[in-house]
Amino acid sequence: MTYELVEHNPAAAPIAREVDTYTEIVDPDAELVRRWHAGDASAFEALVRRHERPVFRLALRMLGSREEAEDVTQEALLSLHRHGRSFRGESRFSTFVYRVAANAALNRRRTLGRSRARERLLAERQSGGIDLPSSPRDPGDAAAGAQAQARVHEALQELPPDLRLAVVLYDIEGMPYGEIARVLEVPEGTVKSRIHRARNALRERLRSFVTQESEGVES
Amino acid sequence: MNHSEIRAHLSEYLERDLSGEERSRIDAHLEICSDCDRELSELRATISLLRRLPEPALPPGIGGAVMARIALGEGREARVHSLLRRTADPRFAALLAAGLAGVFFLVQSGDAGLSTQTSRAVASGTLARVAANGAATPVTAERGGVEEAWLNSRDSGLGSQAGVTSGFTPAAAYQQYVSQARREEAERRARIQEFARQLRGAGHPNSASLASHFEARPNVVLADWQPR
Repeated sequence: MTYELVEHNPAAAPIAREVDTYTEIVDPDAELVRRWHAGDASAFEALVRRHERPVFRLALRMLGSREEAEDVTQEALLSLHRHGRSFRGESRFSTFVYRVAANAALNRRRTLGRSRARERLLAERQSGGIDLPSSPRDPGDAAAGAQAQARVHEALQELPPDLRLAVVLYDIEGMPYGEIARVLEVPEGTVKSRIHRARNALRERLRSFVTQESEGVES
Repeated sequence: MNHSEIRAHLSEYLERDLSGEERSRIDAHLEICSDCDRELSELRATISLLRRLPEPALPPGIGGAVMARIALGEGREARVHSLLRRTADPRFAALLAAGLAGVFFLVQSGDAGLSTQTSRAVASGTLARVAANGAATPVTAERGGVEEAWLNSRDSGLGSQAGVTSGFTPAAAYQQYVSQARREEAERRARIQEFARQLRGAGHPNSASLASHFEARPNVVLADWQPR
């Protein structure tokens, strides 16, 4: 697998994004998937260990609550076990995992409804359960940074699910357009448009933090 | 390019995802338009905020919990799906095709026999009714019994009570619904308790916490788990 550091934006943290030369890439999970399909249960356990973190991260960004994200991660991994034998290697296995995880998160989101998700989010914020940086880069900015991150997390929850999923996969997970298109089963142009609309919606919602941030970048 | 066209392409501009010509046009516009230039800065700042979100801590034991649930029978491959997958195997497909052909042959030959029987029954039923009522009302063998009973009861003036709507009242239907729902609820809770009990006995390091997790969620549906 090959990666490149995308440094188009000096202000943003560079993000390791896989170069989207899909057909030339050897799937790093291929051997484990082959062993699992051949009946080796420990190979599936190894796949779970490899993918539980990104699945949980995606579920948390989609649902906003750690408790819901943990439940959905388990459900998604069980679903992977249930349906994963149908995976025939037409895409990378990680793409398949993301698709299963995204569907699980969207289904849970529909079941919960927005209001309940917001109530949970509020309760978690009040109890300090939301993820805040464990070691801020500049201790002097710790409080402001934590506040901004909590607000970004909240603003993500306010986006329509299709926009949120696209921007989470691109800007947080660092996936290339082509792979996101395969996860969402939409054309690349739609992916780009959703990412741009999501960023603009976040820009509006995070107005005060964005202004501070852009002034900091300019100075 | 006007302002809205420029703004629609700012993400692509930041991603260096535009042709040289398109990029030059936007550069030229940004030189003279402070509003679009500010929007570009804000977009860049938004991306920066997003990418600085911290990596969330992974709750411990997710993988173990999933493997424990699989060991207890959850996450099984759906049977229909498994069948469809196996049809991709040419040997299985050949067997399936042979089986279907056999079934088709039996149905065909069975149909012929049944048709004969039915026509005989229709004939005898018709004869029976003709004999009983003196009127030729053809009935099939399948419908004959029920229809005859209903007709008889109607003849005796008891049709609406003894036949179609016997015993039905909205209150009775509601009671039936409530007791059915209560029975299903009790069964579901008992399943969760049994599931938690088996989890505790599974001996996995996370068994106890996982069992508590399920006991605290009485609405969980264990769709494809079967008690041992």
